[in-house]
Amino acid sequence: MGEIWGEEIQMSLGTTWAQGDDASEAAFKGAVATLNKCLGLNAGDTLALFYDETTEEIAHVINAAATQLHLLTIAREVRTETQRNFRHERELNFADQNAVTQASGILTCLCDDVDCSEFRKALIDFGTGSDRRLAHMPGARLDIFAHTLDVDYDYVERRCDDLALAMTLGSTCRLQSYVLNQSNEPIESHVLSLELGGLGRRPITSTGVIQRGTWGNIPGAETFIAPIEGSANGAFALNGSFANRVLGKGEFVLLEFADGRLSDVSGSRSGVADFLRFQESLRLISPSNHDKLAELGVGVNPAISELTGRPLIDEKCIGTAHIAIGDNSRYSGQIQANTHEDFVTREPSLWIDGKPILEHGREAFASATWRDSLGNAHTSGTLSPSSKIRRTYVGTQVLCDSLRVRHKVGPDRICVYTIGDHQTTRVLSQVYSHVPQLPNSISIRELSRKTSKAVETIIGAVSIMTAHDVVRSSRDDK
Amino acid sequence: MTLKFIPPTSFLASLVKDGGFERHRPIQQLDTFEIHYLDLTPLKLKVSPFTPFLLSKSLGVNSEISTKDLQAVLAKLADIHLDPTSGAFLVLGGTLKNIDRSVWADATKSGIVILHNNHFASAVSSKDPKTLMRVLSAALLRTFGTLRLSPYHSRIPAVGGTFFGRAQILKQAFLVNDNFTFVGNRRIGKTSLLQEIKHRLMLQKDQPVTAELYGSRCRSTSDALSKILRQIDPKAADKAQADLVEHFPQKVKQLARERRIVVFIDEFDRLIDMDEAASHELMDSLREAFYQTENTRLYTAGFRSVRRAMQDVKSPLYGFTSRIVVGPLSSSEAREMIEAPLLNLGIDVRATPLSSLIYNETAGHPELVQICCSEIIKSFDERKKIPDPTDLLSAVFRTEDFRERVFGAFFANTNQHEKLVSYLLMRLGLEKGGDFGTFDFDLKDIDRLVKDTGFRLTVDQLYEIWHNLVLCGIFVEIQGGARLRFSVPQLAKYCQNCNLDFMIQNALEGAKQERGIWSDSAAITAETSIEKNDKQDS
Repeated sequence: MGEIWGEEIQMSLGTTWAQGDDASEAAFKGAVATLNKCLGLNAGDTLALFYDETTEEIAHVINAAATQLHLLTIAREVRTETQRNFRHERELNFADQNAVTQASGILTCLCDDVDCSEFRKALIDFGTGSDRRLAHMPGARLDIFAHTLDVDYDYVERRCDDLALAMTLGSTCRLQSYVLNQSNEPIESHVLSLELGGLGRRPITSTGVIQRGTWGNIPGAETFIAPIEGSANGAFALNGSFANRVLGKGEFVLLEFADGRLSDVSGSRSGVADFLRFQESLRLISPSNHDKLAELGVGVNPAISELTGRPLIDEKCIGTAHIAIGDNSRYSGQIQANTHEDFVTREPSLWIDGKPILEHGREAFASATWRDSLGNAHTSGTLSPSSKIRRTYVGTQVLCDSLRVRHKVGPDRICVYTIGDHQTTRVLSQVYSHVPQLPNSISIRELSRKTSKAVETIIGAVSIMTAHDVVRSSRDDK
Repeated sequence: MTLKFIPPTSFLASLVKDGGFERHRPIQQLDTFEIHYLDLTPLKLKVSPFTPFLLSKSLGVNSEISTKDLQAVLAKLADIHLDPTSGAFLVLGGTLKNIDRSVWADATKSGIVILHNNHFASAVSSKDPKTLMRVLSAALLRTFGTLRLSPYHSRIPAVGGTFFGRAQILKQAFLVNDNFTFVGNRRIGKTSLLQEIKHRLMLQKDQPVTAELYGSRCRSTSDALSKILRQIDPKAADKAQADLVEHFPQKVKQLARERRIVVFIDEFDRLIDMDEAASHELMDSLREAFYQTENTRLYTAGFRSVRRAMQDVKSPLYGFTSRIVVGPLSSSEAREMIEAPLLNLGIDVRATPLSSLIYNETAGHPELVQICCSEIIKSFDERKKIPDPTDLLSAVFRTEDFRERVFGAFFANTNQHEKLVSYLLMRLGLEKGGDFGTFDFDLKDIDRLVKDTGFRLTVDQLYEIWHNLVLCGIFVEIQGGARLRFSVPQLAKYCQNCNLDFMIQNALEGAKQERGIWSDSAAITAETSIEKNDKQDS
């Protein structure tokens, strides 16, 4: 393990990376995008980079990108053997802690061995907070940097925003997955029903653009949620990939769930055999809860079109959805397990509360059916000019032209979405900014005066914001 | 059906071996009872490290226990002196049958927690520490209720089961062979830390001789030294009164040849201020006694004066003790402080946003976390359900206790320049929307705001303000220390309600007169500027 500052890293890592090679050039661009767009680092900021002997080449590229961006890099090489032995240590050593503490952005490019996961978890636990951003990339490779990170993040953020809105408000979900033939045409469909909990559970938006004080996997571009435990019933046709296995044309594994637990596995012979072997390994690591449904997610990364058998990449693939079994306790679920495994299916269809979200992998989210509008807001009959309005604990982001929910889910993940349609959100932003911080409140009449908007408009705005639990009202009898 | 009898000793053995509960006292044999003392503080409740577990000899093998049997045993317990406030467990290997309610009520009144076969049979066979913990905490709850067991008491030092976090500091303080000074703002938990170290030392087999000293209660060097000596060697203290200052170091070294000596000094600032006027004779004496002296250890705690003295090469404190900064709890420490005790009190908040919410609003200040947790317990006790996060925050922010702690800590820990900078930043934050959970700033912002008032501060002075306000817990560094934020968002809101402009003016006037690191030129510049502003206003 060693600490290398600035240019020293290039010398110590030799000439494994040479600028000029096409693949390396693309990886370099990806690294710049990662530091600048994903981690939000600018000239003068400090980057803490964690890598090991399996990712030296990547570390070199990242350091070169950091140098170009005029970042100060604190590079920590943590050998895989040290990572494996970490479980006995229980806490990061002083040098690792110091690197994290000094940085405003942290990038972990370590191996993806399960044996090393305790060290990675410790880095996330220690590294997240104090407004630092932590990008996590276990099993980092040059091709990932080259092809999956320099993407249109505006598009990704819009898709994640839409999905987060639907998953937050939605109560029931129907995921239809397909058995595909050799020509990738659906020949059989299966339905998995889930409960999302309405406002009771919030999804995670993992856009790849890491928010302050949070961490996220990169490449990003998915929105996912921990469904209500025990609610999954039906079957999921796994036609994409799971750990280290990409299913070929015509191959599929049918996963049947009963009351939230994986109850039966069938499908094409080779796929099933591999899956059962894999499932047995999960059972050995986590005897209880390894088979409980823990996650529903939708990938939206337009740069990922091929599956690789690496779940952290594949789950972001555009046109796919995934479920996971095992632990979900880090993002507000209640399942605790030593494992968490994602299963990706291609070209699924998805409905939330009966409204289409995906149709055979294609975007089907209809803004008009999900986004609130002041024109047709369902106003609550209990609101009157004297009603008192106060904010809630739910985090928000007030921009001049929009009001967003920006709420922490669990200790270090985040759910971000915009409330209302394009015009409505602007009004909501104005109204919300005049609602005082907890524990104070303001009357609708006063809000109307302060914003110069009609009482009816304020009542409509308050009704919409109440539906998203960012404000609450109470009648003032005086 | 034949009931399986489980020897109570098996349960006790399981608590020690599988549950990790330690014994700090030997087993006591009486005619009627065998008493085991277990340290229940890992439950993180208000419990004793010497909780008695009573095993009845008369009911040693009974698989079924009647009301009469139980009454007889409880009657015998009256002969044993038990502290009803700390509680005692009566462990029965058999199962109770149709016990009269009045018997339960009597036992509860006497602080007796009854545990029988049905309560612990499955826990013993599971060998699971969490299950064993649940058995004990559930039994304690049945007898005492949540309020009595709550570990959240903000007005008294937290020790044992009520002490949370600081694992790194404790590790360093115990493992590194050195003297230590804990530096941190008032009410951050320094006294609790000193008490916890003492508590842990006293649980060790090789107990040291200890002495405690409070700076505010010492009138002179000889007063301070005699108070220490009286605790570590009462006889010597009486004899050596005349030339105590001179002989104190030799006396300590002499005693240390026989027994380990550990001295705790709280409110060290007061002693340092007093000692500066006495040419450092107290610090010189302490240094001579404890610096690199085998078998001795000195733990002290203070804030500004201590920090200043430790950086001053002319001070005897320089290089004498190792400095450990005591700041707010980390998010994981705060989470542990919130979730573990509440779970043992039957309030499972792990799947709620309460922990992260409390951390956001308190920045891990132990007293503020305690107030929030007490409010959760109070609400749960009244309504039998976990409070809604919004309702909880509203209730906490309205309490006088929370307001007083937030305000009190701010006023007690800051000088006029720091107050001025804080108020100016609050005003800027309000102009930017008033969301102090996200409002952040850097040195340039502070410099600009201060310049606008007419003050001219050097980078050193600005950095001093930055550093002090972080150390005080008013600001928290973010983004690797590049920027700052108010650690407790409510502080700005409370100040806003008290007329911020008036407070700014007041702090400006105070800053002009403040001495210390602030150069005269800064104050003169300010004065000139204020006068100029006044003229413009008029």
